[in-house]
Amino acid sequence: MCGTRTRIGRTRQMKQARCSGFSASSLAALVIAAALWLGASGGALAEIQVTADVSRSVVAIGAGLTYTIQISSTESIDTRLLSIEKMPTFEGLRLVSSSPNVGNRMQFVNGAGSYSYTLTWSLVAEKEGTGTIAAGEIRYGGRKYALPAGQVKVMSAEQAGALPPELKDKDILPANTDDANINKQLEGKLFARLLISNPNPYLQEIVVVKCAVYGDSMDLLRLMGRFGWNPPSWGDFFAEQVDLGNQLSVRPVQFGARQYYEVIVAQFLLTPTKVGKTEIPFSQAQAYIQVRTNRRTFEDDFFGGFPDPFSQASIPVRMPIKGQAIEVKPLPTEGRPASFQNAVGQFSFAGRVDRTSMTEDDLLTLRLEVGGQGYLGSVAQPVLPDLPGWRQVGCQTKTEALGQSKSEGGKKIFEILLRPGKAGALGIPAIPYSFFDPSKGRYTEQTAGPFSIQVAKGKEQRLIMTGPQGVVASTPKDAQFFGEQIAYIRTELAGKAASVPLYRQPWYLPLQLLPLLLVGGAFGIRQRRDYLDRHADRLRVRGAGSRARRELREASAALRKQNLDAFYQTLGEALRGYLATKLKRSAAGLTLEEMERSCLEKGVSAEAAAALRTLLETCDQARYVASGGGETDAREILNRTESLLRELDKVGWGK
Amino acid sequence: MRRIFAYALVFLGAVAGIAGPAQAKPSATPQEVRAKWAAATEAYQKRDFEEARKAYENLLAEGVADANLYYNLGNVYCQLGQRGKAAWMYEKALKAAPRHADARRNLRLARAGLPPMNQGTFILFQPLAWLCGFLTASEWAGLLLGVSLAMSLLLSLWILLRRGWLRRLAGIGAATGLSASVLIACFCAARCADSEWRRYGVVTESGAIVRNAPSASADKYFEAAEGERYLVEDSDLSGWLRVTHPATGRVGYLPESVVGRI
Repeated sequence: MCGTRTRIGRTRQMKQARCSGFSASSLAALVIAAALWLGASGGALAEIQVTADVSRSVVAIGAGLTYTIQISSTESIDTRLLSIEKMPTFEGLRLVSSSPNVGNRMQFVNGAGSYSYTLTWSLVAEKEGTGTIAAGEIRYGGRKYALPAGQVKVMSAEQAGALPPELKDKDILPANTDDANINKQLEGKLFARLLISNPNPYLQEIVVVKCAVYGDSMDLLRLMGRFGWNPPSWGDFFAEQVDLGNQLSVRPVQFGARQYYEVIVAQFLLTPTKVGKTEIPFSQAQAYIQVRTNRRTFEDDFFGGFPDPFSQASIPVRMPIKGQAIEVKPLPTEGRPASFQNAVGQFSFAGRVDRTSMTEDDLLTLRLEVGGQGYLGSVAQPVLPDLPGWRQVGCQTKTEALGQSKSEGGKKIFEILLRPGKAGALGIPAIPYSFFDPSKGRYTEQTAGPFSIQVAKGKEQRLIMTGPQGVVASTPKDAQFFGEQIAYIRTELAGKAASVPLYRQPWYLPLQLLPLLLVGGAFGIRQRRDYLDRHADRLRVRGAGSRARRELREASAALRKQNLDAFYQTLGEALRGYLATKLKRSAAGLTLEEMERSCLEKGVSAEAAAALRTLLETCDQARYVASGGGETDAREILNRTESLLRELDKVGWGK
Repeated sequence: MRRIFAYALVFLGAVAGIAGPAQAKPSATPQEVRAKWAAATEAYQKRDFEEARKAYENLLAEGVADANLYYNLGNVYCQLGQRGKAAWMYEKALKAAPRHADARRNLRLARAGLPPMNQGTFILFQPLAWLCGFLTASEWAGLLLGVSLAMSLLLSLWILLRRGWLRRLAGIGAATGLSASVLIACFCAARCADSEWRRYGVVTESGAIVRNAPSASADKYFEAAEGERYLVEDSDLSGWLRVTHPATGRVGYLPESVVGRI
């Protein structure tokens, strides 16, 4: 059909070319180009695989089935190049619709793509007997692919509803619901049964028991969900359930001429613990099936239909399973080795030591491994032969199961700790281990070793633990054993535990305050420094009086030393400095008149201002006139200066 | 300034007076202690464990409190099959020297079969509890002092300097030191509280019965496992101790004679 569409497209192109008045040469060029393009695309055609199949090999008369042609490739499929050269004919089967349902699928697995294109036709079985599908042919690009012929067995409605005779012999019980109509529809189409791997096992041989549900079509199983099984009491069996995951697998099985689809709902691994006949009692599997509740006519399908949640219901379906007997055989006594300890399975036995040379103080780890298929619970610790020169001080057992249960097999490891009793070359003889292999029906014995270990003289200082920390006796009964595991005593006193705790020492708490004091001191210094930086002028003005008095004291000292020149100079500098600071001027630039005027402006009394001027003049005179006053005059001047300073201190100086 | 200095001195003196404890000293001289220690060790090496026990217990009675003494005595109890007493001595050794690897290992052996000691501790707190127990209270206190001094020096430097890379460096150091000081102070406080106020005891005898009341005729509550550690809530009950199981929180009464106080 696609090929036809392509041809029509090309014819239209040619017509359009004629109409638009193209020359013959242009047309020829176009045709050649098109042919080249087609040739090129034909040369790069993908390799395809073609299959044709029907959905059911056995159907009841009037029942529907589908015929599907699938074209798959690892490259993209150009559907324009695909055409059905020869459509298969159907005999005994009626084609419901002439045009197929088309499906396109593309998927990538591990970076590699796969493409498939499906054409599906719906058929209905018309005649009882055998419906045939004749061979057909499809074309992809220039290549032809054959469609194989096929057959479908069409049964009468009565025959299709009943169980096949093969299953009737197996006492299959019919599935049932609370609805009689549904029970009638399910008749012969749905049932469950137990699959037992070996109904006649040996004692401790693992038996796999599966609960399987069978449906006569995938369509029926698709409508079902929430499969479950209430397993019976296992009685004399040790049972472990196998986790089948969330996705149940489906596989087709043939019962005579009829095909069913099998779903394993649950799986158990049973280990018989008692010889004799044991019955697995009656049990029941269950599931839920989607049923249409809005059938318009009686002919409408009972199950499935358009997925309309308002017109569907989930109906529980019960699938009873008859009990079955298992005859457990005892293990044969003939050929049973002395080392046999009831291990049943297909195992292997190996052993090794962790070192071949050691000292007397060390411990040797002898590792024995029993691994394989079988019930690991039946694997006991190998019995060690006499070990001259050795003493067993501990043993640890580890089980590494293959799956989630011990019944699926795996590995059991025994780590035995041995302590040498003397120095020299010590040996460990071969260790035998035997098990019963049910597949062969006989016993097998294997050995590990022998091993030779060179033991050197110990240092007798401390015992070194070489094994895992947990490998010790958990009870104090064996005091000697326990005592040997511990680390050796200390021969010196530690010498520091007797001291009074540091935090209770008398100096500790005061010392803890030291950081606070340090930080507080630093903070205080920083604050003071910042304050001084911010208020330097004001502080200088405030400190003028104390500076002047300090200089007066220096002047007084000079007077006591009879140094009148220095006395008057210091006195004058003190007064000038005082005034300059208070007036915020430079002392060098202040004249007597300026000083007097400024003092008067700042609120100094006229008498004080005059006295100040007189004093300064006196100081200047005394320094430069050789016939200055004596010591008495100088002292009086000093007193007058002091009283003047006191008076000047009272002035505000424009604050 | 002088006055402030004088006040500070008085304050420090007062604090020192409060903090100054009475220090317990061994009654024997160091030479005597060494001689007895050597005799006890020799008895152990000759596998005369009964003699070694007596010698070590004598040293203990004379006021020698040493981690190795506890440890060796624990070993002697081990050799004599007294698992509970051994666990008690190892606990005492670990209290005195938390990093005593041999004591820790032997304690694990003595406690074999018992639930782990940190059972019941919230899983995120377990590393913190381990870190806290890594040092003794004294060691934490010393560490706190050192770190806080260093931090305060760096902080002072940062306060006093006005600019420059040294100030930045001092600031980073001070911030780090401050965080570390806070953390260490928490650990130190927890450890000090643990050693000063929380009292633990180890069950030294097998088959000790925890009762509902401090009386031998009281109802049996449950059986305490030998070597198991309990928190002693109250010891002033005329021969009985009110104990709490650290993992389950069950509170009951045990005779004082079957509990070794850590």
